[in-house]
This record gives sequence, C-alpha cells and structure tokens, in this order.
Amino acid sequence: MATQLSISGSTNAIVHMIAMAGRADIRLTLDDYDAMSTKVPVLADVRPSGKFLMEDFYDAGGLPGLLSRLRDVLHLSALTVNGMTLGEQIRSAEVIDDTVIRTRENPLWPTGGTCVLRGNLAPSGCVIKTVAAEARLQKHVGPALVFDNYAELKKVINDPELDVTEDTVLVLRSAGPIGAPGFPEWGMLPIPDKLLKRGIRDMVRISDARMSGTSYGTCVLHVSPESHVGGPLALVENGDLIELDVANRSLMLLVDAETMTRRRENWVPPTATWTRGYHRIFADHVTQAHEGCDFDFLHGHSSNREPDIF
Amino acid sequence: MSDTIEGLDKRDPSKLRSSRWFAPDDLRSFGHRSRLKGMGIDDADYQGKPIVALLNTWSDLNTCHSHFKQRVDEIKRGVLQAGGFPVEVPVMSLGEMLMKPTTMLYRNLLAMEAEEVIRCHPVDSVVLMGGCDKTVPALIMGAISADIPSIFFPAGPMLKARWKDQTLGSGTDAWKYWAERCAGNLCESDWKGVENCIARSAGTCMTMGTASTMACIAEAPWVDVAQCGQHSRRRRGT
Repeated sequence: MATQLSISGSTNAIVHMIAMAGRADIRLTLDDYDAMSTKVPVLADVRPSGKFLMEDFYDAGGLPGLLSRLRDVLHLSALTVNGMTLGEQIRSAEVIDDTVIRTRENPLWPTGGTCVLRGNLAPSGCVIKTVAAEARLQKHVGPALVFDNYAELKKVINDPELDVTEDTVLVLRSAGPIGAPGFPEWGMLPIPDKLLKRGIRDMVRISDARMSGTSYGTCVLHVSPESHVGGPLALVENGDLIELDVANRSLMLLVDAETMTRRRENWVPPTATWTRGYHRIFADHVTQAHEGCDFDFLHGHSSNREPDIF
Repeated sequence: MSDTIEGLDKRDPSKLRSSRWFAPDDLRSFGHRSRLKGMGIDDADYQGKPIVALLNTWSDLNTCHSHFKQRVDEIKRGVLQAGGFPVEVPVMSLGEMLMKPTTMLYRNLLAMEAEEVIRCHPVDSVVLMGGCDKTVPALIMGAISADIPSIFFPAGPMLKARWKDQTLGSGTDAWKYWAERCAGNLCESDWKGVENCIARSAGTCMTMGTASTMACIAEAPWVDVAQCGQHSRRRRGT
C-alpha cells in the first residue's frame, strides 16, 4: 500500500491488493488503505500525476531508490524472495535524481494523494485520485447529470443542446462489477465537446466504474455498492445536488431521506442478462469493489489439496 | 532456487512436490517418465531438481507481452543455470488494449487457471510471466492460492515515446491529445502523428498506469526480479 501511494499508482491497484490479500487470508479494507494514505506522500513525479515516465523513474534510482525514502512506513524485517529482508534489499539504494523521485521535504503531493470517500452516495466507500484532479474541484457542489449506462452517455454527451456546465456533476451508473458487466474502465467520463472548446479540462465525475491508471481528473470511482445491486447511485436523478468534499472524505447526495425512501420503493432491479457459462459464474459470485471483486468462493488458499495419483 | 541461497535450508529432493509424479516404482510413474523420454528428456535431466513452471501469458493479441516468446527462453536458461528444470506452461493472456468489454471480467478466470494449472502438474515452483494490468494480480492470486513458491517476472514498460518535440506517455497523453482534438486544437495529421509514435516498443504503458503500479507492488516485497518492472526493454537495445 505504501508503494502504491508513494508512486501515486493506479486506483485499480486498490481493488487488486484487497483481492490478493484475500487469497492469503488477510482482510485488507478501504479503511486500512485510507489510514496509510494519511502517512505516505507522493514522491514519484511520473505521469499521469506528475511529469516524467517510467524510464526516467528507473534512471533516477527506481523502486529501490524510492523505497529508501520511505523506510519509516515499510516493514523492513519482511522477508523477500531471495531470502533477504526488505531492509537489507534497500540498504544501499539511492536516488540519483531528486526531480523524478522527490525528497520527503519536497513531495509531489504531501499525503492523501489517493483517498477513500464515504457518504450516503457510497455507503461502502469509493476512491478518488486527488493528486490527478484539479484543485478547484476538491470541494464542490453541483447538479447531477445522470447517464443510466455508457451507451446512453455516448449518444448524448456531445449534443449541443445538452443541459451541462462546468459545475455539473456527471454521473454514470451500470458500470460496476455486475452491472456493466465486468467493472470496465469507464470512470474518466468524457467532458462534453462544447465545454472542451471553452477550455474546460476537468469536471466532477462519479461512477461505479474503474478508470485506467493512466487517466486523470476529478473522477470518483468504485462507488460501492454499485447501482446494479441497488446502491444509492441507482437512485440519483437529474438536478439532484451532489457534494464532493475530499478534505472531509465525503461524498453526499443532498436529497432528503424521505425522498430517497420513496425512490427506493419505486426502484426496479435490473434483470439478469447472463444466464450461462463463465459470465454466469461471474455475475453470481463476483464481490463488490470494496471487497476486491474476487469470486466469493476463491478467498483463501488450498494447502494440502494435492491431487491423487493412483 | 532455495538451495543456492545462503542461510536457507537445502531441500531434500525426495521431498520435492514433483517427486510424487516421478519417483515411485509404479505403473503411473513409469508412464510419466517414459513420455518425458519421448520428448528427449532423460531422468537425469530433471530428477532430483526442482521443476520450475514458467507460466507464460504470451499472445499475439496481447500487445504488452509481444517479447515473452523470446524472454521465456532467457528465463529457461536462468533456471538451468541455477540448477532447476524449466518447463514453459502457457496460460490465458489478458491484453488490455484488444480485449473487450474489459480484462477485469477475466482476471479471476486467469487466477483460477493459474491456480489449477499449478496444482494438477508436477511443478515445485513457478515463474509468473505477466505485465499487462490484470495479469499481475491474477497470476499472484492464483500462485498464493496454489501455495507453492513463486517469483514474479514483469513485462516492463515501453520506452519513452516521442512525437515532434514532445515526450508521450501511453494512455495519459492519448486522453490529453484527444481532448485537444475534440476542442478543435489538433489537426488530423497531428493526431495521426501521435498515434504513430505513442507505442514505441514491446512492453506495458510507460506511464504510472496499472501495469507499472502493479509491477512496483510486486517488486516491493521482491516477488519480482529486482527492477525489471521498470526497464526490461533495455536488454533488447530497442
């Protein structure tokens, strides 16, 4: 986790780390991640958060160099693959170029480069890569413009008549693990052409999707539970006010509880479209984003389950 | 190999997992040994040595792993030099660029395949050859669940791309220049120029995308071969 945070790594890695830990019977949670996020600064100045590329990162000292600046947050006694401890591995590591791998005194971003948000719109959490978002949007209230799925978004997003401004909060649903299906990288929703032509390059965007690790912008991702299973994202309507407050780790739909109850009573769960094959297994067993999206029957490992040989 | 590392116990060859397949004096083991002989592999080539499976996610449709066909031979040589016996085992490839609707739909399928391919075969340890985003967690998840020693070998990122006087980073600069094109600030031939230049060599996105992030995460506990996650193209001189 410290590594991922210090390189301002892909938000996808949060899902993968939870899933990998689950195989080792370690219960890693978004709270664990957020707690680490308050301790670890972003030191790698690499795109999309920073300026340089992986080749520059290697030349500047690479991962050993970077880890040598994070000794206080690492388990230095942890055994590594060649029998040495992590502390021994990075004992002689050094950083060659402080502009690519920053010092602790001059980080690319102090702490909280990637944050976990909660609120009535994401009861089980969601994530945002703060370091790759425009500063002016980190505290923002705006009216929702909701797309029920990506096909609908693509059809209307560049319509010149679309009721959208730079303050609008773009909301995409049916993009989560089951709803899309497969949890695609649709979370960096496109900015309408008419706003691009006016020089707008970032807006608040919220979805139950992932986004590419190479993407950037004020994109709230992995909203859990996803809309397909009845998460609150399913109940948002055009014009609802949404409040994003990264400093307070909050994502709120400013709609009263009574209205939300009424909307929930009227909500019709989507019908299952996949009835056979691997897709059926996926839809029946994939866990939600905050749980790592492994299949529910794959947690843990199978020691001593050797095949019979007769 | 564990027996080459000072301070670690040298394993008794008869306790190797693979010896269950090859050591007994019975009809099944006769079959296992005789069929290997049919491939030109004699008892002395592998018995008493750890059998190391190289799980290779190469595919013509995985643009990030196009060098794995050659790279696997170099890993085989390394395993032989260290006293093991290497076997290449292909597993499902998850290439981010061409697989739809998303590779994430198949991460768990590769994880299941990796786990079961390890479990059902006579292998004592594995080298996980991955790189493109989902192949990294999938292979590691499978290896953890199979619970045998594993090491990760990453594809490594592409070389820095250049177009005119700009350096280009995959993904990031594609989004950036697409926005400029939609805004009317980039002509079609410049957009084509970016397309022609942004992927310069074999390997994964050379930004800190998911592939580089997962390679760093794998390298942090040295699951990985140190630092290949950041430079594996160097050795090709490309």
